[in-house]
Amino acid sequence: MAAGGSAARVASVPHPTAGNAPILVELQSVAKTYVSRDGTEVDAVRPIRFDIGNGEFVAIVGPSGCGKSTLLHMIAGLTRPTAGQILLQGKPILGTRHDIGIVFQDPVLLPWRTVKENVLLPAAVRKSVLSSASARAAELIDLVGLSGFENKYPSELSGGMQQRVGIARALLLDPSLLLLDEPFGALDSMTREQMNVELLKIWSESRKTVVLITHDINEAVFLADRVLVMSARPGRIVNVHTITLPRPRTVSMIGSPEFGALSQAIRADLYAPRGDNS
Amino acid sequence: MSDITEGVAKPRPAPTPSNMGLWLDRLLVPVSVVAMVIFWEYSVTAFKVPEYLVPPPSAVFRSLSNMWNSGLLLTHGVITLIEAALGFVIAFVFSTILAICIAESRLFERLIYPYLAALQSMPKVAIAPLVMIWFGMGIESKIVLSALLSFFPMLVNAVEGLKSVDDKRARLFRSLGASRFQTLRLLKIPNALPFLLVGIELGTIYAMLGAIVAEFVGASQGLGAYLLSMNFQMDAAGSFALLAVLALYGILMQFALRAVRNRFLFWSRSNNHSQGA
Ligand SMILES: Nc1ncnc2c1ncn2[C@@H]1O[C@H](COP(=O)(O)OP(=O)(O)O)[C@@H](O)[C@H]1O
Ligand SMILES: [Mg+2]
Repeated sequence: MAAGGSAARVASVPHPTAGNAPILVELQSVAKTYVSRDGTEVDAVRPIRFDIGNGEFVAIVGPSGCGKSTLLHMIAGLTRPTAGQILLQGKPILGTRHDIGIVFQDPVLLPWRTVKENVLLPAAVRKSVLSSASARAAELIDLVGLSGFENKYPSELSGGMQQRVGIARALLLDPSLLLLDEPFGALDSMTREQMNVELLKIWSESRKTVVLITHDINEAVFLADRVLVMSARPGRIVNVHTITLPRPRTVSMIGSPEFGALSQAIRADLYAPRGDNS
Repeated sequence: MSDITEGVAKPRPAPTPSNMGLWLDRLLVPVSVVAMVIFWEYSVTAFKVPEYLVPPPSAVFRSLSNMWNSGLLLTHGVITLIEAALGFVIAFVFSTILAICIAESRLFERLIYPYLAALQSMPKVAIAPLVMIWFGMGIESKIVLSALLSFFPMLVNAVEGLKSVDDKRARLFRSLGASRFQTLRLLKIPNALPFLLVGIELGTIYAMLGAIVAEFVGASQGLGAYLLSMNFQMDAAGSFALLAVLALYGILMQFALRAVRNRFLFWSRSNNHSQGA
């Protein structure tokens, strides 16, 4: 449910979901300011306080350029926050970790590796798990609907298929936290819906914690426990919507009045005139 | 042929207008070469150009077949080829190792750069007489000059290839927690292969050049020495024949490397990795 309309709610958003799940990720006033080549500073992310529960599915929506990718990269340990810190299971994230899987906005596949070899890349880096990885890779390739394409090269795949290879790759080492940066942006709406259902299946079976960036409000409502709405740059949290739709979710819910009301509320936040609170 | 075998045979595309175009395309170069040779033959005779200046193709072919039959072409050719090959291998090994050090360490790059820049800006052919003094008139000096000449184009391309890793791919490797060595092995080196091949292509040409030049400066054997002796004898047809052999070497190398590219580096075909030295 959308919180009240005052500007004060923006600064601090404690985990409003049922406090029963232990917290996995804590964003403690995390902010990022880029310094560009000419010395000018770009505020990409304004201080954000937010907690993500273990096993929770969080979606982030916001206009492009509002710092969503930056936020995700900070959680992944790829970018250092310029202020605040991020805790994973109570410990600060100082670098990249094996228990975090990330799917980038572009698929970023290696053109000299086949589909299977690309999916196996995390195992090639972590040699200890290589033996069991091959069977797991075959399973994941099947899961993302690419059976029969194991030995194809990325250049032989469509953009959507490449993105699915990226998803399989991120899942290979069975990370406890899965970060997805607009993974389905390049897909047609039908494949997209299919992938959403698959993602829900993966999530409910493995009880991973998922943070999904998307520009599709329906996708956010359909998948997430909570939807975080960010403002235009510099990014800050405008509102957090708790999605009350029951689980397991089915495609038929998309037409329900409750679904419509939720996505309407999110849309209203996205297009609301911007309250300046700085 | 019977209809039955026709049916069993693998499907073959029927000749279409575009196939005809392909055939014309393939014939274009051979036809133009033959025309050129004929034109050359007749113009040399028609304008009464003396044979010691520009020999007619027929004389060049005669000379070539004599050289082959006497076994001299093979003896000299093998010697030069061995010199160039050894020089190339040495240059390849050293340039690749040095390129990895340069690409991996900013400090090393800064330390070594002034020396490399100085060496590179020097016309290495000019070192040939010194190389003779240091390494003697034997095969060693030829190998050294050959290695020296082929070293830089291979180094430049290898460094370029190792450094041209896409930011997003580098970020992917960071997200996987890859070590420096893993990033080198799984990302930088594969990424550099198309560049490396461009360097190798130039390297094979420069290695041959180095061997020939060193033989010019002082040698009793090898194609360079053989070419020089033809020149002293005012045997232009012989010189032309040897030049044709050298050109053939270059063409064969290019074909071989193109085959390697198509077989192993097909994934980079769309990218433009061409990089001169
Ligand atoms: N490496 C960088 N250097 C400077 N500015 C950057 C960098 N990365 C992103 N930005 C800027 O930060 C803002 C947020 O970018 P990003 O996180 O990619 O937004 P989003 O993913 O929401 O579209 C943008 O204005 C972008 O131009
Ligand atoms: Mg983004």
